[in-house]
Amino acid sequence: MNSKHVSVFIPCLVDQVYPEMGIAMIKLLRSFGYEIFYHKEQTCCGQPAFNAGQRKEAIKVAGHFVEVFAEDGLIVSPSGSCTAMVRKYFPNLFEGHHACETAAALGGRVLEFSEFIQQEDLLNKISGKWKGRIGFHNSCHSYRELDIDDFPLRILKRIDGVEPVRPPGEPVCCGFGGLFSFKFPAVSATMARSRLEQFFELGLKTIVSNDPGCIMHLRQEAKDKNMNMDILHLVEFLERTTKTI
Amino acid sequence: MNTQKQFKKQSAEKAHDQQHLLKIRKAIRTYDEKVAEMKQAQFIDWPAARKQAGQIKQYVLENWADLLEQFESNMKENGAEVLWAETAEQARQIFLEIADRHKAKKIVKSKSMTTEEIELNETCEANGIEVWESDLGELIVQLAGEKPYHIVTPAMHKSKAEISKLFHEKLGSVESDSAEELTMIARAHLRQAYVTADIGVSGANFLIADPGLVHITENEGNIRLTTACPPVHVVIAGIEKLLPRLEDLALFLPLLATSGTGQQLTGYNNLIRGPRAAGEADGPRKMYVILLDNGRSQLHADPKLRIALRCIRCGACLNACPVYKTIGGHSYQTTYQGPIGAVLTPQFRGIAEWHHLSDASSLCGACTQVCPVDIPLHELLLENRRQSDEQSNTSLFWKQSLKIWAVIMSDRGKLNAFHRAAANGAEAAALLLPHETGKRIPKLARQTFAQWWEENEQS
Amino acid sequence: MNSREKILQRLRQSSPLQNPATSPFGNDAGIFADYTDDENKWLSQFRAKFAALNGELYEVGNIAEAGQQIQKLLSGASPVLAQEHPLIREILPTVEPDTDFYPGLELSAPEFAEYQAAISVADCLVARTGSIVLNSRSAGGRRLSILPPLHIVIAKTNQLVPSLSEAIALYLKTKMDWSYAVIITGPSRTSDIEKQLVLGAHGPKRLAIVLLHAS
Ligand code: SF4
Repeated sequence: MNSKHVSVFIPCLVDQVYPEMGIAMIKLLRSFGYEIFYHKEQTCCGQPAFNAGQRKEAIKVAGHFVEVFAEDGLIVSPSGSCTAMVRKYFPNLFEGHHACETAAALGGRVLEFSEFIQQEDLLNKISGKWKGRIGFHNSCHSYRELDIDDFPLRILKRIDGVEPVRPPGEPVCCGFGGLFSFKFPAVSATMARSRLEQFFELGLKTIVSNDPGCIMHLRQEAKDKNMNMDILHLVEFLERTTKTI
Repeated sequence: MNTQKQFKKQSAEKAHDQQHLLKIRKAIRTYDEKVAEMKQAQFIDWPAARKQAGQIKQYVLENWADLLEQFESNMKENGAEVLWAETAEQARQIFLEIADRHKAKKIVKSKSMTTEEIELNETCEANGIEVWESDLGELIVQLAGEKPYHIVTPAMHKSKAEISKLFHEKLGSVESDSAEELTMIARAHLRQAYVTADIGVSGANFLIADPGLVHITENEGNIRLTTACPPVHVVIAGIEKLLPRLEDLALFLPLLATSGTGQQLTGYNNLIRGPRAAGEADGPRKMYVILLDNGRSQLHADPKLRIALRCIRCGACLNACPVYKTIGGHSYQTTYQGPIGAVLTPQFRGIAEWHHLSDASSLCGACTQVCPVDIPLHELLLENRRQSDEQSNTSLFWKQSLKIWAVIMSDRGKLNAFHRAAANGAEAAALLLPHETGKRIPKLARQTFAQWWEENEQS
Repeated sequence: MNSREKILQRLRQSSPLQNPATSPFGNDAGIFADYTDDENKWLSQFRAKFAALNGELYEVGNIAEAGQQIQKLLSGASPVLAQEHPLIREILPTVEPDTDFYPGLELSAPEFAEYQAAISVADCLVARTGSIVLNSRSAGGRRLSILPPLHIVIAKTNQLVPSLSEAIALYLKTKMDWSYAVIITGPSRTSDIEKQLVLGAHGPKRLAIVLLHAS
């Protein structure tokens, strides 16, 4: 085992609601031979306030993030959305701020989980067994802000017996959008149902995604509509199916 | 009811309207397939093409005044009159003066969102001038007493059966379930209008500065008839419609057709330099171009939002938008719907009253991805939200909630305390994000990741 | 200050940079997948594109054949209104339908409504898009080619250009003393009703080209 270090960023939603996703990611990273570095003071990237237009509040939280992670090398996160916040939007948020440079530099070092696998060339360290077709839901931020396209599918294909499937056409939003889902719940719920139906129509009952926000939202709508679907984070799915752990 | 409440109500109703949903999905699916196919067939590198188009439009924005003057002087040379309107009201006045000068009792009109913007139809009717919409989709919404549902396909929400019934009631035609027969009913109905109208009114897709020329695109031929038959032609166009040179059309026409309808080129691309020239067989004897500002030059002063003025009104961002596809065009209550409408309307008509349109987005970025002139639409929605908050439009509830949230989230100790207080599930979370909206909060985990780490990993 | 000056002043004040001029677009070969500069391919490309647009293309070798072809096209479509043009004059004596030459504005609307077909020439044909380009001076005005239900265009193979840029360049070389030009890509059409394609929405339902092979 080599002794490479990697820092993990556990987004607030994972910390507070889905710690199992964080735990799964850590186990996987260890199985690849990494030593994990976890900053206990970490909280959130600031996205909720940023998306609401409340820059002061966003800076307060994002500033904390920058302080916590400023000195780190590579930082892995199980969320495409939070990664996009740091990489794509920190420069905008911190425009004219004294921490601007530090904040912008973080963008190059925070990686979403599948990006990390790709960048560190870890694909062949993944193997396992499962049986069946799996729908992949790429989050909008992952797809459009981070340009993550089919690499997560290549990861899934490492598991014997998995046939990953994407609904035809461009990836469609799950309808979450953070505060949007609170401000316009009916619209947001219909969007989730439309997305779920795309998978359902293809007979896909297991859906894997790389974003805890989408997962939370889709799970809720699936439950409300009595759609019997299993919606998992990529790291959860891998943890359940890989041999190396 | 204020616009915001109305929007919330109507969008929620539409979100539950299964039939509406299916109709729109079906129409847009047909569009999506055609567009994807045409991008493939026509463009070597679509992203490169849109980037180039974006740069040309950016050039316009940065040399706007000069190019407008160039357009004006070139059009004048060809015998057209160019008139400037700072506001919608001025544009209406200018139009009424022209109508009065030519003693117009009846106008025939081709589809133009700019005339919707200045509410030309209402103005004409109030002044005893009959208005005949000549675009099939526009005719349908006019007869139905509605506003356009979509900037490119105004009657997208109407089924064949509804149109048949409408034509039967308003035009006295026999009911039909054939799209072809219905189209022929409209054709016959409008033929009279072209040849008896006193003025033909059109919008413009592009105003070419060099050489001076108005470009208008269409498929049906109604624009050709509208600009060929009546003795007077009036163009009403937003000042942002400029392109520097005729050559640029070789890029913009395929780009617009592909994004707008999935065609390689639309059926007729009309290039109009002026009224009938000496020695020509026919054509209007007078041509006027009304250049409408109506907030555009003010928006130009905003360095972040200026880029929205690149828009060529192709409608692609509407079709890509999952919110538009859920709530439909009418919920917006605006001339321009969808993402571009949600960017422009708060700017043109006041953030205080219209910021809810910028809020009603999951920021998925599908609009930005499809825009043929490379406008970062979802980032502009964010900028609108920032401006809205800066102008204190954020509701007290959200403002306070996020303030408390920021205090907790910038201090791990407080976050831990928060979670402890919420040990029995979502009670404290409910404090943070109460059920104002009906969206449920997920139950908090019994143990946070941080606690798990502390228990299991602390050496 | 009047509105014009106010608008221009505002734009000048907020014009941010002295942006270096972009050069005019003219890079069809670098942008369009279906662009070809091989002259020998233009005709076959035009054939395919025009057919896909529901256009009717008739290729003929000489004036006499052109006359015969037009006669065939006009069966059941008379009277005919033709553009006053030497080439059309040359072809038409070999045709016997009820033909009038378009006199311009003096032809009243009800009279115009009688005509079942129009014949005009064009300025060029665009291979890449299957389009016909014509203008109000070279093709007999604005009304002729849009009012009757059948529009017949007489063109020659040496009028083919590869793409829009070349068509535009042709115009820019001239005085452009026309008031109206149009790039016609297929017969009049609409998909406004449930996205179903219907031909002949307001303009010609049929668009035909009689293409003379330049010898
Ligand atoms: S913003 Fe872009 S995609 Fe939307 S209508 Fe305008 S040009 Fe088209």
